[in-house]
Amino acid sequence: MKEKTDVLQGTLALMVLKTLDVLGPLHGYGIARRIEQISGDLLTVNQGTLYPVLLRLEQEGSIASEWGASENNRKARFYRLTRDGRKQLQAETRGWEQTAAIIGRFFAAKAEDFQ
Amino acid sequence: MRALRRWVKRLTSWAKTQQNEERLRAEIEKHLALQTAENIRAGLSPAEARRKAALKFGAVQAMLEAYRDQRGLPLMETLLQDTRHALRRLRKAPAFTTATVLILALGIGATTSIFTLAYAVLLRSLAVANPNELYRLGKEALCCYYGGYSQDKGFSLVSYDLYKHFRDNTKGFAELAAFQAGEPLFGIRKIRKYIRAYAEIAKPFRWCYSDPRRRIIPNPIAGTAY
Repeated sequence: MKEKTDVLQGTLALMVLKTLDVLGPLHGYGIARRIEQISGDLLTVNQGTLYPVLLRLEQEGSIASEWGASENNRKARFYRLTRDGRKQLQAETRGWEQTAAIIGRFFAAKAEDFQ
Repeated sequence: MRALRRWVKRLTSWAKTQQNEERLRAEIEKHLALQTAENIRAGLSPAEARRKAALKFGAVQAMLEAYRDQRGLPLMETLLQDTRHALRRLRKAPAFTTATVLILALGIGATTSIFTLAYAVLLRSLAVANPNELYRLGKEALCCYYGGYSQDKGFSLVSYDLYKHFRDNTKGFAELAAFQAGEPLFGIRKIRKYIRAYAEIAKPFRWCYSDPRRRIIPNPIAGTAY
């Protein structure tokens, strides 16, 4: 059995933005399912914690929401990325890649590199 | 910019609290229904599917708390609630409310008027360039001609000749000015006449004014020239 990890503070928001960027408008449940699937069920996220994050992103103007019909034709609230959200996603992606690269270099470093 | 937008949204969120609450409930319900449906498709019994869905969602109440804390400004909302509560209680006890309001009004009114008086008499500087260089001459603290011949300790009146003597021979003062003693004044026309007269006498005082448009107007009733 694989070890599950907690979600770092703030990363959930980034995952939401990326999911909406890739898949287009989704309702809350859809976003939660996609995050689970993509993470390979490695994340222990209570699906409920998603909603405060969605609220914050909406307040910040990164995403917008409206009522629409879900697959079984019942009403659901759909979230979509706004232009500001896309910009934010790009900026945060760059930040994460940079951090990951730096950490990666530290892990790859061997003793002889420092001589 | 994002933080500002969020803050504005939070500030105005109370107007739509009810609507938001309903929306969130609908969303949670929808979420659980979709998860339940998926669990049923995976082969669970409806009851078990529902239970698993709720488990996966996590504690609804805790999530609602977190959601509400983020939605508005909790501090403002509590303040608003407390104010409403206080107003309700006040309305229920009109006698107490009236008494309190009256006492407060009297207290504030009295303090304000006393301060206004103290400010005018004690604290405010005279409207001249160097008020600390102005002196009033006389034998007593209440030196001058004061509301008729009614002073106990003699009248601090000097003759015009003595004034001229002081003026010409007191080197410590840059200028010296005097005004004529007169009867107490009550009529407006009389006051105007005297003000004109005083202003004429007090001309030498003009040197101490920073603003040349301002003229000295001695107080004709108290009989003191500042």
